[in-house]
Amino acid sequence: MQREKTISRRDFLKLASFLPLGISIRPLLTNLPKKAGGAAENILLFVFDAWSTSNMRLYGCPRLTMPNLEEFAARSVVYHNHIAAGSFTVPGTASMLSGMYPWSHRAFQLGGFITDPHARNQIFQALKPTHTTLGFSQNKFADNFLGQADQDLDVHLCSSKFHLQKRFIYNRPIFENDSPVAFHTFEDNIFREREGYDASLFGGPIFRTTELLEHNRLKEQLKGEYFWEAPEAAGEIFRFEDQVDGAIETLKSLNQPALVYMHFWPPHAPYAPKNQFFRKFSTGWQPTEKPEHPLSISHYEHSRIKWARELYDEMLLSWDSEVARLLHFLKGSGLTDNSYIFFTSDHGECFERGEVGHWSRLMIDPLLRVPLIISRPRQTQREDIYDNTSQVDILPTLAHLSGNTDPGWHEGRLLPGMGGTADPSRSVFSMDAKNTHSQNPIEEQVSFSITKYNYRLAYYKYPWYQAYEFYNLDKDPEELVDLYPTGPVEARYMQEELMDHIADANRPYERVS
Amino acid sequence: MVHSWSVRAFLYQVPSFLLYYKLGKIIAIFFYMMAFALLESILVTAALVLLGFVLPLKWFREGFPYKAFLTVSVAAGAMIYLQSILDNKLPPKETFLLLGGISFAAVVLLILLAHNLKFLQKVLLFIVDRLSILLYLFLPLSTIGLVVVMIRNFW
Repeated sequence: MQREKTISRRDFLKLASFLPLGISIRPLLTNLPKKAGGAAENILLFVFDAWSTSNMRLYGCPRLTMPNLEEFAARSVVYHNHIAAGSFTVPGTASMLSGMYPWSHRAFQLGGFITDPHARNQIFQALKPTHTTLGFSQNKFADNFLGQADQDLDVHLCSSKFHLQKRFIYNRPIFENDSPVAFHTFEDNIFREREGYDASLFGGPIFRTTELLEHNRLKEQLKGEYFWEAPEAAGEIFRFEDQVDGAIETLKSLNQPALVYMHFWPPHAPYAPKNQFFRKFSTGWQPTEKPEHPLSISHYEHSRIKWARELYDEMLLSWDSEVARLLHFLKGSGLTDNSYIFFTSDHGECFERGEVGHWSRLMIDPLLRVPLIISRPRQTQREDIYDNTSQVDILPTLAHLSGNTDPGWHEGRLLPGMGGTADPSRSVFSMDAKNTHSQNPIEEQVSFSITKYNYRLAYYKYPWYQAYEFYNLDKDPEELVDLYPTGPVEARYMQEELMDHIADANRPYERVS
Repeated sequence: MVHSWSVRAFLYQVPSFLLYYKLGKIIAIFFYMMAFALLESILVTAALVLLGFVLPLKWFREGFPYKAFLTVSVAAGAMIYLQSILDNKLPPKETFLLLGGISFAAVVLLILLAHNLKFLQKVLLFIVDRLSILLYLFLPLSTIGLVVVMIRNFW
């Protein structure tokens, strides 16, 4: 007799009784140890937002802004020419996480996302077979990418987790499955962040008023520590100490081997030096005054630029004094013995040519050259790498170090000193296309740069300024003498190479008319 | 009123959404906003009903449709003004007191005026009647919105 394959009401009720058990043990499953296919070292990737090489003694700045990190660098590999793929969080972070240039992942607008075919092509997917994956970002724009990678993240910490103020709606557990849409619905829309009209007629202003009251209360409370300005991440007040404490607590309960991505807000604006470091750099070395660039957005006077830079450097010093505790923990816990530890940034910060910050169209060193310091397990001596490297190299390098297969979708190379070989002729690219649709060719109101050997060629295409600029970074590290008008042969070759890459990148998006 | 304001904000944001979203996601955002507007409308209506119960019968419950309409209109005006002055800094306390005072006085004055002028009552009720047609549009949209939010987050 053939048995019927239907499920009876009784069977259904029996099965349903296991549902609560299934739901309750789900969090425990994420703590199960992973099978390490290759090497079992942890990968700890710490990102400091808007952190530039131009402000570190390690990279030539006369001010000693991060003494503790420089001490850590004495037992690490220091990359001197690591170039960000974009000049603000969205393109820079997306390139670091996906191993693709912005023209491929298409996240180059404020609030943009890695486009659908590549959305999950991130470091977490590449290392998931062997490592427990944990992601945390204080910066909501970088947190969006973690939201896109949710399926590949064993642990995704809330961006406000270690903040004193928690005003965001999109990162609440209820929207865990749909955080990108919730982000654009609530943040800066139903509830505006700064000026402008809320989409919520009554709730908007009431919510903003209560949040501003809380904001002021916390600022007042922190006056004893942060006299000048309290640290805030897109409107949420926090303390440096809490970020570091939170990171340490998270690392203590790590299920190893693990890939940890921690993206901290400091030293991003508002520049908030702690009281003991305020005015520390008011005397002594002062930065060079540079003429305003035709594409400057801020148009600041030199005195204001100088003042802002001073605050930024003092914030670095303040942040470093807290990072010291993290470094101490890494050493004391033994993580330095079994982990590759990365310190890097999503983009730089600029204090010259009329600009302050990174909301800029310029393709210059302070915005593009970011620190990259990697400590191998048990490393005792410093190594210096001077070859040009890019953020897109992070993903293949992590895959290699973790013993995973190369995922293939990226545009990077293995970092020299981490399995890769030095190639002085290698070209690295950066771009800015804030106003371009992700599905359109990148053609108008755009900035590109190609860095090769010791040269940088920048290409600006705006209705009011269209030009190439060419600098010898060795002889002219301040990028003051534009060599393009003299017609150097290197500039011509680099221009051809850049144009070929842009044409290739635009081809899939060109419309047949 | 709440829904119309939400639609205005959505249309204002569409150009920036178009930079990185395809149509499906933009529609999803619209339904999220409609669902939120429904919740907000329910809260505002509940507050008005509560006011009707708390205040003496003649003050608010008698002629509830035009009195509620006047109250919501003045409150909406005050909120729009508040939205326009809110920045990343809180305006001084006096601004809130003045805004609250003027709005309260305006509501009382307009209700008294409408209470005594039958013609004004008729005009207000005519407007309320015409606006209520929007319910046939916004209620189904909001209901779909609630379903969309639930499906996207719980399934």
